[in-house]
Amino acid sequence: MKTRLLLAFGAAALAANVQAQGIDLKLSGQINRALMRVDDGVENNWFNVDNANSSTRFRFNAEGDAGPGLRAGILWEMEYKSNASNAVTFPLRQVSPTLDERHMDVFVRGGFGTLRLGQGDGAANGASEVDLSGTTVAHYASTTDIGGAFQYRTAGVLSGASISGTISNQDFESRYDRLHYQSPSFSGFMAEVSLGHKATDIVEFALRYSGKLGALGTLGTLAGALGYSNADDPVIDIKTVGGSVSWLHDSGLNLTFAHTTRDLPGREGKFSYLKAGYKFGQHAVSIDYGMGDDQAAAGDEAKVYGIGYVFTPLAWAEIFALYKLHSIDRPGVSLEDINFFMVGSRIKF
Amino acid sequence: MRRFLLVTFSLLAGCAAEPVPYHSGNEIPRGPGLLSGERGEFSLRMGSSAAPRDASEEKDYQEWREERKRRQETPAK
Repeated sequence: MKTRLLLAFGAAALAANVQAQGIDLKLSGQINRALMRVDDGVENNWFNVDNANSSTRFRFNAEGDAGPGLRAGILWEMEYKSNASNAVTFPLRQVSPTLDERHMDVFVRGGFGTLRLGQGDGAANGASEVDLSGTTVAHYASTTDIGGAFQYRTAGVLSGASISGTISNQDFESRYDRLHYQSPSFSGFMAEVSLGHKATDIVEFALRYSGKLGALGTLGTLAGALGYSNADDPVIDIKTVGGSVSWLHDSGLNLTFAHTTRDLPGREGKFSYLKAGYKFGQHAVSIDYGMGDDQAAAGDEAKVYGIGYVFTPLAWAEIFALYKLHSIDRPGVSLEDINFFMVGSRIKF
Repeated sequence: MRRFLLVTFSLLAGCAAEPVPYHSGNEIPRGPGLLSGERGEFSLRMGSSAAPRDASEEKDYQEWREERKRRQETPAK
């Protein structure tokens, strides 16, 4: 603990030591809205939502010289979602907006890598979501970002089994208050470690890679990550292991695969995901298939099939469309499929 | 399955020729903004001595421009 405190004070002191001379303070952000049609076999309706695949948000960041070979700065990013696509349901069609934290940290970087202190990504956040398809604003491994709160119906009534509870991509521990170290890049490889606290103490590790393949990069681009997290829960240490890999050929053809496992009381939750896509000019299209096993209850087999399309008519504007079908097999229960159709736009400002 | 992912990742990465930065499509996109223009960010320079643009940021911007150029050169089908 003492070591962690010393490191924390060191980073804060370095950040405070930055002179306000020649520092750029930058503001950027985006608005991402969509119309979403949902049919759960009994009810169907339209929802006007904020696309939680990449929510409406804004960001301030600043960075300056902090000494020979050192730079220090801040990153402050907030999201503001009205009717988040992963929060609305038939009984709850209107969800009030809330201003939520994403990043609030100070950092120092140099030849040793980057050290961050504050709220932000854990080391393994996103390690199961590496994706070069160009359609992530429409769909990606975290399929629960669209419609995650909807419950499957049995005999016409809500079953209590939600999409987010049964087919989560188990992407480690997301963002929290932490101390985070990221190594410099070695031939495209980077290692990360973070220590922090959310509901419990958390430790995470990740190894990431991104680079061209083959001689002169003729085999396209490959990106991937492997992650491990341990949340020190009073009942059971929740360990999550997994990763993802995505390949984009110069022709535009792309393939993505992700897999995670998570220790849960009395069972192991599993998630697998496959995506194939094609990018050409201002267009990107892809199909995906995901499986979540034993996540909410032993014996659960949840599935999702989807097709997504993204059109980028302007450098700052994307128009997207998604159709997907969620289904689940639960021993002894018959549950209805849930269909989603969504169309919307993300504008960077 | 975990082992498969680890082995695949290692084998493919072993063929690497050149590192390239990865930018998640779920984050704020790189490139221009509707209001902020070509740079994609409102920038307020503080202090008298103008520091050079951060090298990694400039690299990101140049990579985005090259990617856009490649996409424009790819014939629509």
